[in-house]
Amino acid sequence: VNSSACVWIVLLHDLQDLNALSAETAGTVLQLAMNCSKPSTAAAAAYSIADATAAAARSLPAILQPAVARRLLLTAATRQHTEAVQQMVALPLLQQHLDAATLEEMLRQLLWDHHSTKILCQLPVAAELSTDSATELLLAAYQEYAYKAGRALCKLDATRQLSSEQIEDLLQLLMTQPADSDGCRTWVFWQAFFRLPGAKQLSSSAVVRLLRKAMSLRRSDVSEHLCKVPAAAEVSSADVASVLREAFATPADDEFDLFLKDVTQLPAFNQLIRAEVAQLLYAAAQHYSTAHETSDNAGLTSLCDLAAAEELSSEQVLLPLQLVVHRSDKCTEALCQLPAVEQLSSEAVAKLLQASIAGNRKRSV
Amino acid sequence: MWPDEALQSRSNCLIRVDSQVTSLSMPAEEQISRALHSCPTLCTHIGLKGLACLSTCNKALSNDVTDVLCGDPIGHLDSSLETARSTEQQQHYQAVAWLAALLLRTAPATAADVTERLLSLPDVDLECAAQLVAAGMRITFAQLLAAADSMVAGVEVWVHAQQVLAINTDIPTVVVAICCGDDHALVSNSQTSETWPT
Repeated sequence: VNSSACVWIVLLHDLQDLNALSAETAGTVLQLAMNCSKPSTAAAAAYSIADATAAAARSLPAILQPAVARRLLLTAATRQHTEAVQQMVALPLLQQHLDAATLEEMLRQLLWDHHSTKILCQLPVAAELSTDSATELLLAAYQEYAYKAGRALCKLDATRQLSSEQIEDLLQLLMTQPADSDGCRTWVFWQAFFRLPGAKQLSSSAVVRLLRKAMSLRRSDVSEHLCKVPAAAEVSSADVASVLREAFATPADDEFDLFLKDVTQLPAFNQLIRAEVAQLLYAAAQHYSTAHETSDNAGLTSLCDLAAAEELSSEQVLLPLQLVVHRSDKCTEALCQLPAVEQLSSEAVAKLLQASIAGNRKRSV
Repeated sequence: MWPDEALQSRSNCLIRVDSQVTSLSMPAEEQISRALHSCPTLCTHIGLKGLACLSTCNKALSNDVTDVLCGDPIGHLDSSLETARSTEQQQHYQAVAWLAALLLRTAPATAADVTERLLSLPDVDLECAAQLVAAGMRITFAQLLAAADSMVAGVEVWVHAQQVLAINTDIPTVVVAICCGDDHALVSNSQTSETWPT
């Protein structure tokens, strides 16, 4: 206990005997201390309330009227005095007066401090927060890059009560918000978010809608989790083909490869039929023919690994090969491992070789 | 002797606007002086910072600026407070402090309004607060508690400024110590008996 707290103990104790200060004024003096810019002053005032509680000061309940108690808590939160807040919410005398509206406002002020957020979310009154409040707080935490606070908010009853439709709407909104470019930091948020009951209940059609959005916004941090929700296993191969077709039509970049890796993990990817694979291979070849050499071309190589790829005709392999032969060794190599390559006419092979030489490629057909 | 060229060109511009009443042969200071009185929008045009500069030129111009500002003292203060609040820039806080100090010195009747307005301004620094306390601003215990209740950030600076300038007020010593965040003062205060206002 620091020295200034001594004064507060004296102040609050003296009240019982001297009654020199009205309870109202004592409350506003505490408010003054809580409003000070210096965190140690606010913390000292909070400790003095704790000390006075421990000493069973008779005047305390009169000083800490519900409105005064709420004002003290909100002021400490607004001035970002985390130590004072944590000290005060631990006191039953103050905790009993805390209502959901004050708690919501306090949380809003303290999202930057995940430790305080966690403590506030564990208070009994946190169970009274509405789903609307929980949604707004989650959005605010995300916008402030307060991902660990967001994780704490996911433990709220109200957040856990969000329906899968509300989760979908929120996800659509969150994806459009700016986020930390470091995926490791957003990961803690998404991990907690996708453990919410509402997220686990997302339908396969919602997963497809969200995947499209994640793809267009290049949010591989979201697609990674989306592809792991239970309904992702029920996404049809036709939907996977359509998402991939859309994806291949967009320009190549690093995020794209990460996104594709997630989609190719979906069970329906392995169920793609021959016609779909043929179309996608061509789209992938078009896509990678403009990509950087550094791209790992995972989209095209995973397509070549599919069982349905073995059934492709030589024409279906020749078209994509012509697109990539002078651009990408990895793509060429993957396509050349398909059985249909052996049926290519010598004329076609000669043309491909020419193109390969023109592109100064080491690998040949 | 002009504070800066920009101010001179702005003033010249206004003088040209006001040429009907201004003879070109007049000395520059006199032209400005007449323009100040005859052109009501001049304050808005050259701004508070410009007026502050003008008032430092010489005694006569300083009086002119005071006259003009005291025509609508609270109106000018409110607009400068709005600028300070919206921009949160140090120079605008300084402009507010300059104007408020001028009003406190030259128009004592405005003191209550000036004090009320400044008390609601968040995060005033100690330098500005001391400047105003030196100009006559006083904060009572009741005003202090009301401002703290409204959660005005950094309101304790006024108590600190009053303490630095050794101003006697009705604020209890222990509250002064709380506001100054001075742990040593708090220790010594805790050993003496406090008398509280009822």
